[in-house]
Amino acid sequence: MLPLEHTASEKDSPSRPPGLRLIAQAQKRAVKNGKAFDLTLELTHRCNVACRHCYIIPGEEELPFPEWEGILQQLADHGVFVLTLTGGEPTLYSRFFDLLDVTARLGFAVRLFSNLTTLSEEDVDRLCGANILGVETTFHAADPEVHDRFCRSPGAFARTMRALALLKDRGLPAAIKTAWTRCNHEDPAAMFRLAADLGLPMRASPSVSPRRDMSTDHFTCKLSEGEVFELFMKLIQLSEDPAQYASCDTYPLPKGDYGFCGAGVTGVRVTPSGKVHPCVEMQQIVGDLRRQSFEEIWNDSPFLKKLRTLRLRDATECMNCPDLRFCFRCPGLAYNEGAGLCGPATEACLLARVNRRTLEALSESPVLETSETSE
Amino acid sequence: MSGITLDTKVRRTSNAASRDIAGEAIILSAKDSMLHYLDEVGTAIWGLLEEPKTGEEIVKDLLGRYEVEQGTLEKDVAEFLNELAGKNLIAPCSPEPES
Repeated sequence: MLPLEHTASEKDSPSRPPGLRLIAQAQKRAVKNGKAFDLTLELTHRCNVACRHCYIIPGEEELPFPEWEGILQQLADHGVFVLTLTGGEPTLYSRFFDLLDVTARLGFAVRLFSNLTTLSEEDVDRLCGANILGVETTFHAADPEVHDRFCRSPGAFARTMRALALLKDRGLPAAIKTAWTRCNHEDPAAMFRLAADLGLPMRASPSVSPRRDMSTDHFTCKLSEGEVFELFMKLIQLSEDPAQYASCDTYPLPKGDYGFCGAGVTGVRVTPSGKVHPCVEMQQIVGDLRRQSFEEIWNDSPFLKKLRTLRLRDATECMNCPDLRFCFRCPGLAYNEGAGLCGPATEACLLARVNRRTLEALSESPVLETSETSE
Repeated sequence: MSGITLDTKVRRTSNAASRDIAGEAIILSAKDSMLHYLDEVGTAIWGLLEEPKTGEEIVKDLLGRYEVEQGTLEKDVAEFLNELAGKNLIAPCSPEPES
């Protein structure tokens, strides 16, 4: 017999990214069948602003449009559904909108990470036909002057706001992001007011990654451990439901055989010149789309194969850490630091400690005494 | 109801991104950024609609794949096509036949 209920549908809501549940469902199915589901494409490393916390180093050669066309066809044939187009500033890619026409023709859903400052009204109209799953843009502060100073681009705040208004007018789903830094941590409420005024969901993190060459001179804008703790305590005071807020930032151990993360499992990252990496963070190159097919890289890369076999229990040092429950663990950051895929990452450890301190302060008693710490 | 009957030739609209993930389709409707997930049978019908088809053609194809009574299938397919049309994922590609 035919089931009568053939479809499930989901629309974005203010509190979660668009279609998160259905995306997760499809992603899980793709992984089970050994297929990539979502890829991050860095179209260019050029940018028209110069954010102080940015980890990208401009200068990488860019694939000409016909080569991207060929790669996109390969990705569609493989079954990839979601493409995150990012940069640098992806709209600076010479044939950005032609590329969007191709992704639409090939049936991709597109997430666009952009500062939006380059977009004209006509450009936003072209986005409407591009199967946009979501547009995400970053604000560094709610105060336009502070934002512009942080990204060293006078007028950037106003241009982004204008583009967001156009996106809203066309019904395109948007969200804002922020990195908590020295320029905005003292008044986090202002960022939430900005998001509320715009009617957009916001996600925020105090993480600032090392640059791709592992230099850290931009860490001058990064919050210290103490400042992150003070920030988290402020965020809890802002929350209507502190317990719920606190629980959102913990990572309870899953039961059973649990893999690391989506790196090389649900997808990979492609750089402007076609180099393939397991994820946004991990610097290991696992293939080159100018010399190899996507299928070849996805199926045969020894590094990706290894990554897919790793389980949480393999991270022995982390498994013995009392802060594991509060840790997002990032094999990419750990690998870049030389700790190996199974080692701890400085940033993850820091946030785990702060998460723990925050929860302890919240409950006024040590959290671990009443919580499970292992499978 | 969108008024689609089994003899209406329908086509996918251009406002949808979709992918068949191991026999189940996920579709993004670009017009409203709504995601839709189809089960196996829905995916089979969506796959058939890669080229414009009538509901009758779809029924004929599915009868060869599933053990199902024709009248039930016809009712199901008509309902499903109207559901897809209601979500703006398909549209008639020719004028509605006059009654």
